[in-house]
Amino acid sequence: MSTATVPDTFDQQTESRWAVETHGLTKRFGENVAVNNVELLVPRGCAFGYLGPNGAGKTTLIRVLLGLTHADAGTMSLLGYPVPKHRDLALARVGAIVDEPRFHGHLTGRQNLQILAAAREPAARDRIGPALERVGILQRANDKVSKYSMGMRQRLGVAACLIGDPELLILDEPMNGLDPAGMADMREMIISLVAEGRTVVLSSHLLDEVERTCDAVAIVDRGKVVRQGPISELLAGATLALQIECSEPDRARSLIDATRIGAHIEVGSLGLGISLPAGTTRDVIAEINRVLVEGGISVYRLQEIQASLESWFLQVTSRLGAPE
Amino acid sequence: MRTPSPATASVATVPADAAGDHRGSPIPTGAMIATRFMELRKRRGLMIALILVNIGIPTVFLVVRLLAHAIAPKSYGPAGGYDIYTGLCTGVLYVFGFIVAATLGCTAGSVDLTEGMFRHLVVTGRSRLALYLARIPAGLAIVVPLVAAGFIIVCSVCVFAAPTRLNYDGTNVPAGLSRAGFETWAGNHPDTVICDFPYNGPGLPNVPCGPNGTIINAQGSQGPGQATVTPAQLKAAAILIARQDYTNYSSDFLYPSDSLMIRTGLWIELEAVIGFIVGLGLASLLGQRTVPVILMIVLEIILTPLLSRARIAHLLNLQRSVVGVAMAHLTPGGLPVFGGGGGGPGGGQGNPLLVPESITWAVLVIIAWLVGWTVLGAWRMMTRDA
Repeated sequence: MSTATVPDTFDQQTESRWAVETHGLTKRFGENVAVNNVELLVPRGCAFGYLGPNGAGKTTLIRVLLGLTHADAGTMSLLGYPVPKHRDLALARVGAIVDEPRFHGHLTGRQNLQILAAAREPAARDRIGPALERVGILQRANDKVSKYSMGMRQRLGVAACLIGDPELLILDEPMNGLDPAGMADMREMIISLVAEGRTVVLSSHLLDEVERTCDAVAIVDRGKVVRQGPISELLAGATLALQIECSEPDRARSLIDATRIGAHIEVGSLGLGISLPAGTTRDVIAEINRVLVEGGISVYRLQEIQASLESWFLQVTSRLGAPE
Repeated sequence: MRTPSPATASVATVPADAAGDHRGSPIPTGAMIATRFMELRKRRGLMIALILVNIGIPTVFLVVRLLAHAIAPKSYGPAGGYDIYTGLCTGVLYVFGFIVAATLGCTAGSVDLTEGMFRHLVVTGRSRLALYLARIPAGLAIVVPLVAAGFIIVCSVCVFAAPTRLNYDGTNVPAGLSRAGFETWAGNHPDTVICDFPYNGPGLPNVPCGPNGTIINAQGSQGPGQATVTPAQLKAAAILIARQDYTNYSSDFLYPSDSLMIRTGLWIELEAVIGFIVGLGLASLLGQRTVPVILMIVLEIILTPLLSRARIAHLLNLQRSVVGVAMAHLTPGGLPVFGGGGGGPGGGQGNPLLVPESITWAVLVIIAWLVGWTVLGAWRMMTRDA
């Protein structure tokens, strides 16, 4: 973890490598520590997933970052601007959805965006049309928001982010309420936003979507960031799983146990399910196969199960949840 | 999947202020005010209700009077006139203008929060103080014309449908007479003046009045226990009465003067501005609309009339600090004080029915309410979790 300090001067903004940088960030609600000494570094120009189970403190951290509520301790910066000191400058380049996007129901989608554009720079007004078109609700832009579905309000929320031409987008559960096609559209849009050089921080519990969309993630649990980094690197540290279909599964298990490679083996209806310790090389797989064949076991299928973000997430969070 | 690599984004990195944005400035932009105005104006149900209360009620009242007078002029007097004007201004426009303005202020002060828009606005980085202050001109741009529209309707009807003769103490008298003219008219109508006009003093002949307001046995006749009264004596008595009544007569008009209408209009608008600003601050402080609206109505129609009249020795200064009491002291001369009583050339000023308060103190109280509630509302908005 970097120990870089948050830049304190305006000039340092362009030098900062990080879109989001926090050190020791803490937010308490009475006795409950919702954000606990968080050290977070989000690189610029990538899609960054911020994952955690319900109640882990994801939304609270976002609210603190955006100045919607104050931090009790720690420092933070957005796009190199220290906040809350230069909050106005930082947020001028940030677009965000926090929680469920809600708008004035008696106004149309376009009118709601006009209100938000008026609070931004004058050029924001010219971006309303393109933003509505980009999120796919231009045809319904003149309908009242009270007639919008949840998915349409999500899209309007993203459009509200885009009218500021943001360098950093912070999206809290943007897939909520979207149908499969809408989720695919959102995924493509996030990818295209990153391709334009923007940074997207995606808070979600939809691990599959995060894995398909993001380059790097941070896992938060009970207010603390417990892992962060590029997904590929994080998954490289996950356990290796094998699925083996063979004859005589019980004897096969005994043979593998005898090799003392530290595998966790379960015998199921499909054969053997084997979990190998993190860092196990692929040579071990070949060794298992050799032991079984030399032991007279007929191996019908041997498959390496690719570690997914979901399985890794469950490993991390379940380990955290176990009593120490 | 792309490999994450820290890199300076290719999108614009020009600081907002470098583009003349002044996002941290507490001064709202014209666009912010305009869109806030739009947001309030588009609340169709609220707008209809406000228009009905502030314009509809006096309009319906005046239309009914116009129709009644047109159909049966002997039974129903003219729709307009000075008395109708004072009654509508003090009893309807002043009170309803305040309530309408307070309702709009409470709406403006709370809906961003309750409808989830406040969070979007804060995330723009715009100064929260600017977000609050933008509501004031936007709301007043609705309240002031709305109150003005109701007031103009009342003024128009009261001037153009005013009676042609002044009704003084139940008697038709020519309007706008000078003191000498009034005395001359009285000398020519001794029966009416002696029998119908109020008089408090000595020097009148003891003459009985008939049921139709004429003097019985006046022409030199002598009734039981009565001295002979000559026409000259009756004329002198009428002039004496007229001399005493001239002050009261001169405060009655066929219709309100331009000066009174201007002063009344400004007074009603000031009351509406107070209602809006206080409602805005209170709703922003409490973060909701319903309770502040109820509190404002209670303040206007229950607390203010009570506190402006009940003289509680130990609470006099507290009573003086109520904005409604201060406004009562600014009631224009010629209008009755809200809640009944008073009136006359002094208006609320020096009115014996009111808790005593100097004009300077009243003005200071009003300014304190306007500034105080704005500060409270803005402070809460700036410190509130979004």
